[in-house]
Amino acid sequence: VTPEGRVTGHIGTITDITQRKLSEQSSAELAHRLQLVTDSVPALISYVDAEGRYQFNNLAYVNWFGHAREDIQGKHMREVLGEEAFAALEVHVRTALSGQPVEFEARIRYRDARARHIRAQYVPDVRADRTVAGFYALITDVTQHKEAEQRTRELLREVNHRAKNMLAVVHAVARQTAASESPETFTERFSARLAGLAASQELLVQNDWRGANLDRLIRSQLAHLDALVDRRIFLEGQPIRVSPAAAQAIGMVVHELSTNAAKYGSLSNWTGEVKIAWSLKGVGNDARVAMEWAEYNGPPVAQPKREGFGHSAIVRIVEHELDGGVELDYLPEGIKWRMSAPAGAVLDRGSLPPIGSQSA
Amino acid sequence: MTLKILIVEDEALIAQELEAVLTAAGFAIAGVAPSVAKALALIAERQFDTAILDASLRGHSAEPVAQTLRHSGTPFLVLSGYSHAHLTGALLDVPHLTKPIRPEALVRAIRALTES
Repeated sequence: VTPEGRVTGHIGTITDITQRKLSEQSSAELAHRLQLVTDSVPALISYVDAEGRYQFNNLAYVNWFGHAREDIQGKHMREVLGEEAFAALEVHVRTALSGQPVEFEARIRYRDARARHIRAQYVPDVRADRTVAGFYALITDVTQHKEAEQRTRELLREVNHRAKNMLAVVHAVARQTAASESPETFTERFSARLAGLAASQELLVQNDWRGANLDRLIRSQLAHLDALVDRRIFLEGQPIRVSPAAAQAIGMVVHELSTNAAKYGSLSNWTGEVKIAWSLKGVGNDARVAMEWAEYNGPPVAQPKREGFGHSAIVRIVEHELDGGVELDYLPEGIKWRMSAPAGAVLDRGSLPPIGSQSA
Repeated sequence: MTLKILIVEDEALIAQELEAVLTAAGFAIAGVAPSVAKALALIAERQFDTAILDASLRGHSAEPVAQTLRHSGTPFLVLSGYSHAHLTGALLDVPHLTKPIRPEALVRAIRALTES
C-alpha cells in the first residue's frame, strides 16, 4: 500500500487445511463410532479425567443411573455416585490415577440407596510424558450372579442339613428295628423300612420338595403290594397335598400298617381287604385332616404283646409330628387305625383351605 | 438325684431315640416338645435341670426357645444337622452336637453341662 493509499499488490499466505478438515471430520466420525460401539456393550463404560470428572459415559452407564448423558458429563464421580459409594471407590480411583491398573469386586451402596455388587476394572490413560490424563472404567453389575451364588450356598446348606437329619432318622430306625427284631429278621425289616423312607423322599424330590399328593404318597408306600392295590386295597379321598414333613410321617405310618397287614393282618390271607380313606373337613384354623386304615376279613386279630417300632411309628409319629390324635383298635374283623390332625400341620402351605371356604 | 431333661426335637424317631439313650444313662425325661410353641409351654409348666434343643423346629429357628432358656439360666445344648458356622444368636456359644448323634457323646455333653 503506497503512502497515497494505492494498493500495488498483495502478499498472502495460503495454508492447505485439507488434512486438518479431514482429520476433524475423521475424529468426529471416530467419536461417533466409539459411542455407537460402547453404547451397544451391556457393561458400564466411562472415562474419568484426572480431576475425577466424567468425560465419557456409554448408554449402559447413563441408563444404570437413570440420568441424561448431559447430566453426567463433566460432573465429579462423588456427585453422580453419592458420598458413600465414592468413599468406597476412592482408593481404587487414586490407584488408577497414579498410573496403576486396578481390578476389584465390591458391594457398593449408591446415592439412590441401591446396593449393587460390581466387578470393576480401571485402566489408567498414561500419556507419552508419563502423566496420567484419567482412566477408563469398565464396570459389570454382578448382583444377580452374586444372589444366585448365595441361593446355591443356602440350598447346599439345606441339603446338608436334610441329609444329616435323614441319617439321624435312619440311625434311629436301625436301633429301634434292632431292639424289636431278631438278628435273622433285622436286615429284611430294616431294608424294607429304608425302602419306605426312600419312596417318600423320591416323591418329594419329584415335586421339588413342595409336598406330595396323598393318594400318590400312599400308593408309593404300597409298591410291595402292587398286585393288591385297587383289588383288595382300596383308596378313597379327595385330592389333597401334604407337606414334606407330613409326607415323611404318613409315609412311614402307611409302610408300617401295610407290612403288618401283609404279615399278620387282612392281607396275609386270600380274602381280606384294606380300606384307606381320608378327608379334609372344617374351615380355617379348625380345618382337620382325617385318615383311616381299616382291615376286613382277615385272620383273627390279637393285640400285640409288646409295642415295637411299628406301633410307635403308627401312633407316636402322628402325635409328635402332626399334632394329631390316633385311635388304634384291634377289632375282630381287623385292625382299625384312625388319625385326625390339624390341616395346618398336615397340608402343604399352598393347599390350606382359605378361611371361610367350605370344605368338599 | 436324677437329673431331668427336656427334649425339644421335631422328628419323632429322633426324639424317641434321645429318650432311650438318656433313660438308659440314668436321666429322667421332663418332657418332649416338637415345636417352638410346645417347647415354650413345657418350659413354663415343668421342672427340669437341662435341655436338648434341635436348632430347627418344623422349619422355624429354635432361637426363641434358646432365649427363654438363657433368661431362666437353664443350661442346654444344641443339636442340629447344620454345622456350627450356620447357627445364629442365642443358639451360639452353647455346646453343639451335630446329627446323627453318638450316644456316648450326648451323655458326656449332658454330664459336662450339669456339672459345670
